[in-house]
Parts: sequence; C-alpha cells; structure tokens
Amino acid sequence: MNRRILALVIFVIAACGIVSLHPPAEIAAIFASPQAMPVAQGVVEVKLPLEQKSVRFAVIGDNGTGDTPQYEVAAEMEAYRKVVGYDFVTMMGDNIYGSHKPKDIERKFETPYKPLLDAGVKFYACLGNHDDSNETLYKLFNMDGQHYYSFKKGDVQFFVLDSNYMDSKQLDWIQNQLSGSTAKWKIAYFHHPLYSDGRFHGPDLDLRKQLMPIFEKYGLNVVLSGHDHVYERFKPEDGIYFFLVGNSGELRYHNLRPGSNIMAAGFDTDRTFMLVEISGDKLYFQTVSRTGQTVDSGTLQRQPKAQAPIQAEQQVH
Amino acid sequence: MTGMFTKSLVMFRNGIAIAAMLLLSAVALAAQGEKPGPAVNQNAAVAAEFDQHVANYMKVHQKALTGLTVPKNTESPDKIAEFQRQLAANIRSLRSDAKQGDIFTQEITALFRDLVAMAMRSSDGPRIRASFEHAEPIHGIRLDVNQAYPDGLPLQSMPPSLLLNLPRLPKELEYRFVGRELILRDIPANLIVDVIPDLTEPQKK
Repeated sequence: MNRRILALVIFVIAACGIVSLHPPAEIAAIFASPQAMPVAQGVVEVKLPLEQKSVRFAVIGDNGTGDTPQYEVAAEMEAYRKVVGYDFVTMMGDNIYGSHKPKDIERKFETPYKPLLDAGVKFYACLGNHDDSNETLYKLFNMDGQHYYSFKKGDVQFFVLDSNYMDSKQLDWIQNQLSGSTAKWKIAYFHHPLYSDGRFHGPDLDLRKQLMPIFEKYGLNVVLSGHDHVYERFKPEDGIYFFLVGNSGELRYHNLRPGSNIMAAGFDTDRTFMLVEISGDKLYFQTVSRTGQTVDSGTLQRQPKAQAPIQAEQQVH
Repeated sequence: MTGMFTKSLVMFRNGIAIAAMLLLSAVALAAQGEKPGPAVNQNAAVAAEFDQHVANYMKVHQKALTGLTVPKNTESPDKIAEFQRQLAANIRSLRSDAKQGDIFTQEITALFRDLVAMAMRSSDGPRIRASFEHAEPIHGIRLDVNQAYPDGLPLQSMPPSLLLNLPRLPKELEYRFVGRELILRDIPANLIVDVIPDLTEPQKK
C-alpha cells in the first residue's frame, strides 16, 4: 500500500515537473468543447516575441461561410489568443457569404467567433464583394456606418478601404488621411488584392493604378487583402509589404500560380489565419493553418523610404 | 558677296515659314475659341439632367426615411434587416409607377454609353476589361426597377478608372454592373432604382 502511495506521489511530482518545463510559447492546447465548437487540433506554437506594449492582432479573410472549416480556423484563433493575447481582428472582407438574413449573421460570424467575442476581442471589417453594404451598421464589425474608415492602435494606424467602389470621394479621403497621419506604422486593408498569384481572380490592376501612387507618396508600410482564396506573402514593392489572406473560411485548393517572381511565400492547401505583432520598427508575423501548423512566419523591418531586403523565411508550400 | 546673299535668302525664307506657321496657329486657335465643340455642351446638359433626376430620387429617399431610425451600431441583425425592409417598402410605395428609363432616359443612357466606351478606348481600357473578366462572374440575371438586389448575389466591384468617368452620386446611391447591365442601386434600401441593359461589351468568360 505504502509503495503504491509512494509511486503515485512520484508520478504526480514528475508530471508537474514535465508541465513546468514547457516554455510559455509552446503550450499544448487542451480545450473544453463549448456548444459543439470544434476543438483546436494542434499544438499552439507561437513564433512571435510577445514583447511588452506591442500591438498584436489577427488577420482573417473570406471567412464567412458558416461551414466546418471556418469553425475550425476560429477554434485555432481562440487557442492562439489565449497565448498571444491579441485583442482585435482585422477582416479582409467576404465576412458573410450567401444569404444575409439575421440567422446567417449568427451562423457565419457570431457563433464561430463567440469565444473571441466573449473574451472582448474586437473585429474591424472591410466590405468584400459578397458583403451586404448594411453590414456597416452592425456594431460587432466596428465600421460605424462607414464604407471606409480609420482606427489607431498604439503606433499603428489602420486605413480600411472599400475596394468594391473606389470612387473619387474615397481616393480623396485616403489621400487626406495618409497625408495627415503621424503614425509610425501605416497599414491599409481592403478586399481586392493589388498583387496576387491566385489563378481565379489575380491582381486588381486598375485598383493598383489608382492606389499605389498614393501609398508610395505617403509612406504606407503594409497592405493586407483577401479575395483570392489562398494565403500569399509578397516580396516588398516600393517599400510596402503585401499580404493576401483569403482562405480563413473559403479555399481554392492548389490555386496559386507556380513560378511567380513576386511571391515570397504561399499556401493553398488549407485554410489559414495570420497573427501580427508590431513593436518599434519591427513587424512579426505568423500564419497558422486550420490544423494549427505554422505555414509562414518571419520579421519585417519598417521601410520609411527605400527598400530593404526582406528578413522573413522564404517558403512555398 | 554671293555667300552673304544666299545667307540672307535662307533667313528670309525661314522667316516666311515661321510667319506662316504662326498665322496658321493663330487661325486654328481662333477657330477653337469661336466654336467650342457642340457635343460638349450637349453632354453637359444631359449630365445636368441626370443630376436633377438623382436629386429628385433623393427627395423620395429622404421622404421614405420619415419615421424610421437608422440602426447605426446595433448588435441586432434583425433591426438592420427590418430597417432595410421598411425603407425599401416606403420607397416602392412612393415610386409605385417607376419604370426603367425614368432616370436613365434615352439621352442619359446614350451619354453613359459614350462615357463607358471612352473609358474602354483609353489607356485604362485593358485594365478595366481585365477587372471585369477577373470579377466574380454574375450571369443570366435581369434586374428590374423597385426590385431588391438579390440576397446572396455578390456585388461586382466597379473598376475605379471607369467609375471616375461617370457622374458622381450621393453616398446613398451607387452604380454596379450585373453582367452587362449597369444598375443604379439605393444602398441602404438595397433597391434597384434604374437599369441600363447591355452597357458593356460581352465578357470573355
């Protein structure tokens, strides 16, 4: 009997020792399953430095299907939130696919992201071509009734555009906003990508022609987009870093054009979301798949004027 | 002596040539000043007529809003849906006799065809065409005045270079292409205000 108790005590001590040896950034995800939410599948392996006072956020795009893969990505996002502690999500549009009846908003947004919403995470949406313009009125998308708007987090100012309808009023607005911005980091995001190796849509060249001169003139640092249902990171163009995250719900399997000379990394075999941390002159990013695999990560240096070589790993999946 | 004469003759000839060029330029400039292309004035008048139609529609829109509260920053999708439904119903009631061509009259339709064709012929043309061809395909749908834009049907993005060529609209209204049709859409009411059929070239895909 005493031997059994001794063995149990030794086992408990050993188990505690093993758990305490794990570094905080590599915590095995153990989750209860609230309201039939999918359980995150993988191990949370954070590749961000988690520096003090940094700005941390997640990026999703083309997510609002209401189907199982969207829920699985959402579960991974929650698993990572618990470790990374990001408190807002930027949405690249196509927030709600198909019907926009109230029950659709529930199934395609409120239910999958409930754990994040309950934790106080804010979502900042832009409009995609599948979105209803009246989504601007919906409080949980934080658009304040506007088709395009701006918000600040620490050293970072975000410029959220409506790429469905880039009229002269909006072009004037973005020019005025950027020219008056004193933020260290200026990030624009909108649905249609200026660069894309997606075979289904590809880049919006007309939009690029209108926006790039403004972005270059006023020193924009980063552009995030969606629309093509893949993940892609690009080599910097004129000092600007471009990301495409259009597969947080939808996916176009093997849709990336091979042999691209603008791609720095790409992933088109599963859904993803991206985590971003900005601290000082550095932007750290980590792109995580539906199954919890890190498919891209790296560090980018802010480029005020001239281009500098990209420091992130070069990966193509 | 002969050399000097030849030089003077060349200078004289050059002088005559320059004088003739100046004279021709002056005549051309004078002609431009006297006859500003009649098409420009005609287009301006048609554009002004379009602005007036839009202003009249906006009066209807404002009247339809009477008694409704815009549910700005609501957490209730039901309230947004109900607001949209009521606004659309009010507009339909106020424009119960509205028909295609009320706003896009024949003259205005002709102007829009010219403006779109002009943009397509410009150096922006290939990019505009590419934008249409890469957009989410919407085919086989005909929309009518006072009809709601179908729930779940994607909205094709408007190529900016083309949009910059069209008359400006108040923020409550927008142009959209649905296949080859150009629609004028009331955004908050999600209602088709008018339609121009077959405005663009047939798409490749």
